[in-house]
Amino acid sequence: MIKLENVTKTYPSQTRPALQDLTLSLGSGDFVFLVGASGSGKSTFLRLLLREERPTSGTVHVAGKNLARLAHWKIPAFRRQIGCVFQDFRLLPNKTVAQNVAFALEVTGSDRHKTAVVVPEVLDMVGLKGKENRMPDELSGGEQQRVAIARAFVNKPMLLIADEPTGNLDPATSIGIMKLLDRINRLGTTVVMATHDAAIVDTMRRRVVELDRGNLVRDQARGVYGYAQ
Amino acid sequence: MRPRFVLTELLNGLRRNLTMAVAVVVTVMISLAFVGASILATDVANTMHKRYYGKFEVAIYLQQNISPAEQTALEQQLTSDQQVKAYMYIDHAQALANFKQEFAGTPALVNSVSDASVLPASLQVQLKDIKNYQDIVAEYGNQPGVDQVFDPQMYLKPLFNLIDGVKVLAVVVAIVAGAAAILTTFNTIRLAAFSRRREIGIMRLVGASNFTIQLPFVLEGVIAGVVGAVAAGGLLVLFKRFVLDTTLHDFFATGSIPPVAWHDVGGVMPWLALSGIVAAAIASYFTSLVYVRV
Repeated sequence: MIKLENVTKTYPSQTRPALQDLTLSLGSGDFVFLVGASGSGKSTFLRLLLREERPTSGTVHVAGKNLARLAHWKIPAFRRQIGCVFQDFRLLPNKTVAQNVAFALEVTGSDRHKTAVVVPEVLDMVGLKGKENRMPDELSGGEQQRVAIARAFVNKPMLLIADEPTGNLDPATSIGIMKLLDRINRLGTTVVMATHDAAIVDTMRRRVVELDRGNLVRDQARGVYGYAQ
Repeated sequence: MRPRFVLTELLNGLRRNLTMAVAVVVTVMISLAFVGASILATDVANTMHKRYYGKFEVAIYLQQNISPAEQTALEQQLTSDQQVKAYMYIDHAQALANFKQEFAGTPALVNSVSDASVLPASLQVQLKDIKNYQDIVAEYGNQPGVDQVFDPQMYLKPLFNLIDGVKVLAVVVAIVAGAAAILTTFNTIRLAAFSRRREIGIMRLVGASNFTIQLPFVLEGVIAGVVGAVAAGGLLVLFKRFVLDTTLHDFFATGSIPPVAWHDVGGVMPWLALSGIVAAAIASYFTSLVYVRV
């Protein structure tokens, strides 16, 4: 599913690499926590998977594609296989819940009938049935993140990238979001989640990949947040 | 790609960005109006060229006391001259008749000339190529028996200068206003991209094609171009109706400069629309390429 080989990424204005000689592979259907302090390279890792950045050296394969060789015009089609969720939700404030989810289908060319069927299904799945016509500012933080997850999942992606999805939520709400991501994972979608939330990582006991100043320092099946030295 | 979705995005974009869209329309209108004006001025100049140059004859005026031998020598030289197509001798009587006909509208002037010998006899020379008239002026101007060679350019030059001046002015204004229109389009698209940066960011993430992302911007530019072109056409119509046909009516009435007809104005319109659409589409496409980078 995802395979990084000797990946180093150095940003033009910096001398220290954001990622250094990283080799890692994630299988299809995996649920992986990406942990590490701020500046450890988590965001760079996720940006490489999305082909928002290219590695300075090494190769990144996602869904069988070598991203370094992916032609520019093929990037949109590639990204349709990936869903993205962020800490700040990134909803469109002037669109309703249903319109926000439908937006992802509309801009990728789905027809109206498909949108009319799929959007209520996905909203039902994330637990927002009956709130289709609310505006984002009428929802709680947890509900807004559910909308974002619905939008990320509506194209049935092979890979879901979540960048601190519980960073703005209280612990109880976070658990609800994690249950949802777990459910999506069980439907066959690979989930890569960057997080600082120790309680969640420790409770879920899934694979943990830890980065420290750009280096891979831990790759542990059924791991916990803090490494017991 | 759903047309309804593109339309909604387009209308939202225009609404959010209305003041800039109006600025684009105004600059496009001004530049295209001057493009139209320069096309019309070129038409007028070309019509004048055809009208005057086709009929041009160089007149070699003879001295009153020219000897028969000198006149024969001149005529022989004209006959063997490669540049001369034909020539005709106009004697005093014929010159008077021509004069009377030409100034029939001013009887006082006609009546003031009673003696035909006042008007000089001349050789009216038709050239193979009117452009070479200066050679004729130089060649025959100092021949014995020649009084002077009439330089037709002397009379037409001010007219052509006037038309050329209008043409150059229109082209310069069209270029300057066109540059302003392109810069305004550039800024408008930049602002539009900024005000829609959330949407663009999400579109990129969910895998919308560049075409989908850019289309609303390009259409925005095209619509501004179309509206600007239509407004420019309206401006030309107003200019013809209230300036050329009213204020400058007497100027054209002399017939020295051919008037601008309605079908000339109509013929310019499609070109204005085409150049407006193409220029606006290209400008907005390239701007959106810069600001809507995937």
